Amino acid sequence: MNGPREGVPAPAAAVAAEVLLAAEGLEKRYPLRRSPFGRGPASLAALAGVDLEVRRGECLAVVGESGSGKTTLARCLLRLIEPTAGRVRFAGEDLLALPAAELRRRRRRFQMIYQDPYDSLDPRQRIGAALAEPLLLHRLENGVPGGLGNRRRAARRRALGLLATVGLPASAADSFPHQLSGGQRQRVGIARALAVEPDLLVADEPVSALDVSVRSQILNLLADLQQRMGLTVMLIAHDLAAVEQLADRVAVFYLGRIVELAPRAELFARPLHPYTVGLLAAVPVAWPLAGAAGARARHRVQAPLAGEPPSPAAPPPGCPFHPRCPVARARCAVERPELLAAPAGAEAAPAAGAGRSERLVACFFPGSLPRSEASPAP
Amino acid sequence: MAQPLLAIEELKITFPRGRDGLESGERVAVVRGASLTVGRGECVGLVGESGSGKSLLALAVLRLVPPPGQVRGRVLLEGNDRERAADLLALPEAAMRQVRGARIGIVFQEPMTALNPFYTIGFQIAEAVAAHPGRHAGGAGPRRRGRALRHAARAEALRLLERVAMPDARRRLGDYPHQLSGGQRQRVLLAMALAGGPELLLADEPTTALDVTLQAQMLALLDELRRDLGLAVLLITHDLAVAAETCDRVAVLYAGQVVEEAAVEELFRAPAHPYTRALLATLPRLGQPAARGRLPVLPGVPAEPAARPSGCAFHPRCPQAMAICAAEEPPETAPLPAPGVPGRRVRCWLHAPVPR
Repeated sequence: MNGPREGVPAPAAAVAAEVLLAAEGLEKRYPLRRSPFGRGPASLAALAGVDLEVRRGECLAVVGESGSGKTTLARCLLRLIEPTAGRVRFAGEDLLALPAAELRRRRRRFQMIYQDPYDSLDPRQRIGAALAEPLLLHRLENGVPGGLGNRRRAARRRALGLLATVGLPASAADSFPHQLSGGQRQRVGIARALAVEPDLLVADEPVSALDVSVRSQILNLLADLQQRMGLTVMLIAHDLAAVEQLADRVAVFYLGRIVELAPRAELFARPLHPYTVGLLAAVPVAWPLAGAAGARARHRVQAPLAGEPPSPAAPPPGCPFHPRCPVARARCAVERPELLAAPAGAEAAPAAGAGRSERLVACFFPGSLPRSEASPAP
Repeated sequence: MAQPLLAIEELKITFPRGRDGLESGERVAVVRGASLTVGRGECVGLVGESGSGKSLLALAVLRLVPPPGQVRGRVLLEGNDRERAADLLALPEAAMRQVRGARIGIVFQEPMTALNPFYTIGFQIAEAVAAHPGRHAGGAGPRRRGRALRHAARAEALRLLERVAMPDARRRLGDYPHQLSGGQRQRVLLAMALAGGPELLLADEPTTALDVTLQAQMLALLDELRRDLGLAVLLITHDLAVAAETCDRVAVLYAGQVVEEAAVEELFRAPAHPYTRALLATLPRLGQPAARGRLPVLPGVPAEPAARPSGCAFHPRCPQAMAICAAEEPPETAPLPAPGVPGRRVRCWLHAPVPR
């Protein structure tokens, strides 16, 4: 837990590796309608036992294909849906044991940013009111005495301050959501989450719905806010290039389980799980591709990962990834590998500057699939 | 250069300006004189952000722009048997129906809305096959009727599904769209687009709704089809990286105009238009993380069609804007001196002789 962190300056995180949010054996099952003859599984595991820690001040990224359980994880962690089994501790407190009223008070400390800034704002509420609402709800207008009028005015002043924080003009307070662009709306979404001064920000695909030329603005804003406010961020994303910009650590999800967890630089330099290798190789690249490497990348003979993720209603036996795995062996089809510390042998070439590694991988043969030529070096 | 298969010339698409159904008589140009060619067997990428007009341009090629919209310009499709190219915009509707599907196939972004939820995919592909009788050797001839036609169309549907590498194709024929995954639905759409045996495929964001791994499979499949069937592809995407990996030539669209067009290596090696440069610079690069929070940024947001800036539409966001950029639109095209690379175009005052 006190493992030294590599290269990137993440000031707040460097203070201490205190665990802010921890999940233990987290499961979320949905009942399935069974056939009259009672065959087949009775439930589908969207989350099949997840252990995960988010440390104060860090940015932990969760990546994986759609259906891998990323969003379910976020919702269970914040208790927006009730997990079927397992424990969630936030700042040492068991979140799942809290009564509803207590939980609502606690919500101030963890906030969420949603993917679609078009859907997550009330179309008939002005931006200023949308930002003031959480402040009034949580009675956070800086202890202003007096009636509701005073509190409203104080909340509005705070709202204007928040707009400035996320780089929007004060005039935006009087706009309706439809008058703003996607990027501006996402800034409002961020401001709204920050209004209650949370410790933890869960960002679910914060830039996927935005125009390409606007994405880097929002990524920079998130990185900047994280540093300035000492925020802890959990970033859920499928865009690995965006993840590489923000994350300190990365958890790779497959079929409701973590298959690899590693510090960012190590994961991108030397992925150990064959699934991570395939995921990285699948990312298209847009920099000048000259010569043979360019021709090879432009005309892929074969996609790096064949097939599609299996249905969580009928997970394959053994390692859930083995039917798609290019290096699967007999053992993989019968036994499921646990998420364990990566063996020393697999760590033959740790990323430069990395200290003691803290990598976890759920694979019997980690590192056996080298990063192929499919992802050309720049 | 040989005559291109498809030549879009000075395409202009306008919609009436107005709110709440009250027309003011003015029209807003969403696509403003875009020109683009696609050669036989060539893959051309059309890259643009939302609102740049890229999807409308594809619809205009098939004459599917919805009614209040007006299309001007020319869309030339090389004739069968080397006859004269026909202007699709001037074709009678009956003749146009022979073009859609049979000569130009289309794959849309959202596979769920493009498929009918009440019919099996086998039925839907067979329907597309039957709509183009005589396009398949040994397939349904024009004389076949009823059962024979259905049978042949069904066999062809299976062949097409296998062609697009649908796993377990024979069993899938009886599935309904909701039983398929997003990637499989996209394969069904591709099979339907191929049913008429087209020479040109319009692919509008064919991989945007897919995960990276499925996107890579889809792009590899498109590439394979191009090689095997000699298919020309116009790939519409917002993702420069997808264009970089798939296309031979790339055109960049901004505010309804092609601002730059070049061979793919050229475009990515030496982007000439400041917008292309900015797009490339702001793209996070895998394996090359920028310092935290220090990704290069392109300020502002894409120009709205109804409120286009004067002069060059990009000038308010352009780091190299000059006085003339706000005053006058840059000339239509200015070929760059790029030896050995034909057809590089850029629409920017930086690369044009400034009028005195």
